[in-house]
Amino acid sequence: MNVKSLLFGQGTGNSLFGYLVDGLNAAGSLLIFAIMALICADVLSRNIFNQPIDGVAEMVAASIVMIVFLQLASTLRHGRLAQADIFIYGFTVSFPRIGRSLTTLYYLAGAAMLGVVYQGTVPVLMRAIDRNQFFGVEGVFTFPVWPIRTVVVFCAAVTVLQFLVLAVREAICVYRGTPIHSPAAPKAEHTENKAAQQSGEPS
Amino acid sequence: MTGLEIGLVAVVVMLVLIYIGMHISIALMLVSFGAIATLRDSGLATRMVAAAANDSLGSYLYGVVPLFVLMGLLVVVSGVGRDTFDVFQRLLRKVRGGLGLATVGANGIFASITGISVASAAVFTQVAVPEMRRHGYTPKFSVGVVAGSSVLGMLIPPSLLMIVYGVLAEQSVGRMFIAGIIPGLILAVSFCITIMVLAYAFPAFMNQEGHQPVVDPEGDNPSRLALASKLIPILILMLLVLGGLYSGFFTPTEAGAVGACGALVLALAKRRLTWGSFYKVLGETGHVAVSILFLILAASLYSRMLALTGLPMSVAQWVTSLDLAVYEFLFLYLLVVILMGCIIDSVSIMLIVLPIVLPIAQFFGLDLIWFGVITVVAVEIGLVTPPFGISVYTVKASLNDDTVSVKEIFKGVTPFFIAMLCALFVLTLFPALSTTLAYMY
Amino acid sequence: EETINLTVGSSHPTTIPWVGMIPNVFIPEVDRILAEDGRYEVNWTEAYAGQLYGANATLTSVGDGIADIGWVFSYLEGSRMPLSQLSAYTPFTTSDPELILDVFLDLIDQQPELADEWEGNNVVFLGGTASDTYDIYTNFPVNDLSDLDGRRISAPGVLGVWLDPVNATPVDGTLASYYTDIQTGVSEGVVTLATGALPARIYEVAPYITQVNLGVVFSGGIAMNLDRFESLPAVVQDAMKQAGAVYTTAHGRDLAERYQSSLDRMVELSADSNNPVVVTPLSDEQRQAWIDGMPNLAQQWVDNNEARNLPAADILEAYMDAIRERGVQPERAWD
Ligand code: NA
Ligand code: NA
Repeated sequence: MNVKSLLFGQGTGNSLFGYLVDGLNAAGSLLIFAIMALICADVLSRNIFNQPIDGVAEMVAASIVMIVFLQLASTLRHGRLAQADIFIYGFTVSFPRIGRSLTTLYYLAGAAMLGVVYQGTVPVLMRAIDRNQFFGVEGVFTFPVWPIRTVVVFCAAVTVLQFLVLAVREAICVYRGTPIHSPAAPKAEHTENKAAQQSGEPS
Repeated sequence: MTGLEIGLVAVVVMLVLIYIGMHISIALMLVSFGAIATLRDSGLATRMVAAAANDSLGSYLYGVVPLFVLMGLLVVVSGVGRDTFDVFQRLLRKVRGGLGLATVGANGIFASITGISVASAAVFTQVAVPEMRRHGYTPKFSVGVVAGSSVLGMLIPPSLLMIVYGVLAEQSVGRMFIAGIIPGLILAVSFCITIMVLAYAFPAFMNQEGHQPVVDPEGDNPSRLALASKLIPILILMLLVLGGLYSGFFTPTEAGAVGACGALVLALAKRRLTWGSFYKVLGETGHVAVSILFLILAASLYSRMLALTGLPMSVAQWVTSLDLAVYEFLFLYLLVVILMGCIIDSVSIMLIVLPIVLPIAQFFGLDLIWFGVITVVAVEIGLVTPPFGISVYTVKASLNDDTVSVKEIFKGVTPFFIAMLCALFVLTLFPALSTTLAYMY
Repeated sequence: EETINLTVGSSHPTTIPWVGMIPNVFIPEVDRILAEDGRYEVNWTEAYAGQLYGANATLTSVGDGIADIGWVFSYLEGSRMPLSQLSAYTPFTTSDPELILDVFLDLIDQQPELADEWEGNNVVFLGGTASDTYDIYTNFPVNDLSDLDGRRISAPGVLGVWLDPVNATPVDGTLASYYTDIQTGVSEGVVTLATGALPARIYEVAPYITQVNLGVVFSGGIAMNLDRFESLPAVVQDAMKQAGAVYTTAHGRDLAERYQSSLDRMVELSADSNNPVVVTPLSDEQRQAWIDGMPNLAQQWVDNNEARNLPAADILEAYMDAIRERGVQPERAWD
């Protein structure tokens, strides 16, 4: 496997980077399941044993940020980040090169913005480690802040890479003048996308 | 440039970027970053992006978004959604647009277990749209009815927006909840009338051309018992969630987790779930929830940027300084709220507008419970108006179907948008519709 | 005349009394002082009610300069401002908000570690805020402390520990959630403030108000971004500090009056309803039993902070002494 296929896969998403993105997504999925189990356990414990579990509200509030960042790259990879296709689809059908150039720019803008998230959160992470910052109330429930900030920093970096991968693919299509094949802005890894869809009922 | 000018330019640029197809969340972040950097410096802009990313979702309330989505998906996998809609279809089969009516009805029931409209939109995209498509409705109509009726989630209690209003206006949250019941029913009825009008006057909007009617394997006349048994699972789920909610076993926010757990048990009991498919459901839940939550994150940054420019404050002050009569004030207020709904999210509109407008409403001697109801309806209209309509984008994200464009969903929701405007007009004209029940309580 | 642009923010709406006092007391006072001087004028951008940041980020947002001036909710900053939590770990010390504000202002002035919780986070402390005294609101009558035994009572954070002596089960929540929590039966009552219970209409679902008088707490203060503060001319800096002092005084007086007027208003508003409010003071011996039953919270607080090399024991002693110096005998001597 050469560097190119490692990074970009061979059209099926089986790249090392793809496994990383999927793995982060799986971690986020587990976290969603854990939140569900935790809240249910709290409800049962409170009603049956009159003994609520401390810190559930804090843990749920903290988890949601982690879930969003753990699954952000995968959401993007599967073309599920919300965008309006009112204009871009028809335009790309008529002018494939200009339309795809615009799409390339959109991906680059995404990379830049997640880069800002990364850059802005690194000092926040450093401060959290330096000062042993925690969530919650001492004597009741506390939880360190740094693991959450680490997830945000790491996953922001991974999402920057994912945006760049998509931008490079799109730029290659600009170079080749590939026409558009799907109504939304062109999606990467269309096959993978379809596989993930099978969880729903057949329509 | 002054703050106001920067704010105005930011709004225009954002509208253009979203229109030409940039990811909405990225467009919001980009415009906000640029505006803050121009207004102050790029260092502060970076810190504000990081603050929005790290702090804006840190609330228990947002934690239930993925859980309500998970519950919806598990309901789909367990086949309960399909069963329910088969029953409704059979009950309403003599009625044109029967499944559309069923969607509105089911959304009304579902509204009483969820406090967020986006949850309703996500769930019924998964449950109702495939059924409607299977029964020959156009994609446009199918998604339109779901996006439109999802608005019921915020009017029928429990409701996140009613809580926000109750706190801002110092009104009883419980009373606000009850005030929303009749307006919620009025809105549901107006949706049903809209569907009937479409069915008889504009059949092409609703029915797929040349679609063969679906024949269900049970045959044409299943026994009442067979029909009833199809409804049992969803009734159990409703009983679990509603019963638990109103008997005090758990809070409205916890209902998402308990509902998801109940749906999981149901899917396992019906042997519709394997480890593999459960894993896929969890992944899908993540994709839907993240696209919504990342949008909320970016929208909060955008609202913060606008607050920093002072634009919303100036617009509100300008509108309210015009020395108006009561009905002129109400008309302009609702117009401004609906227009703001085109560009920012519901909670942000209320946070920005209410502190300025509430004293004026009191000055005019308006009943604040009724004022809250019409505010919530006007704010909710923004969920389905372009270019920034969260319900529409939620439907799009949950649908994951490239053949249905965002434009198509906005088209499909237009009749329901008109129905909402009519309902808002009626509710504004007759305050008693909102206040009678509320003050009996 | 030179114009200075300043952004003011808050996580809470102006309907909360001490937030409302920013536009109604603090800003007019700064304007008044500067108008007298005549050299400078402030162009205020006001963004209250969470427009710029939420309750979970009041300190960092002012420290980062997202707002130049804002109300910092130190009560929610257990990690960044551990020493400022002192009053939450010393209930039954005093029920006088003006006293606790006076004492805390002195402590921040005299204890460098306490001052550092503000300046170390890049903000300048201008004026303080406190709460009125905490009481118990329930949907059942409380004739005796044993009536609270095993009941589920909403209480935020460390206030849950205050319920230990009466053996009630604390349920986490916020002012925004209490109403529905009690209405639906998730909890049967709440430890809260009269000034909060009135606007949140808690009395509608929990009309039995037992005046336990658990004490007042220091909740935070109005603060300014340090870099922005240092960039200002001395006369403007002074105006900020003076206006902050005026704000503290006005807020303390308002709180002291508002406790009783809030109780009266709740009684008045509920008089014709099905659930009229019943206010019952807890008897002295019952209250003493509660005080005696409290675990040594202050010692836990001292231990946690001494482990961080903070002189918590000294600050606790200075705090209790300062209260005694003002002629008030704390009902529980936490030192
Ligand atoms: Na609802
Ligand atoms: Na909109």
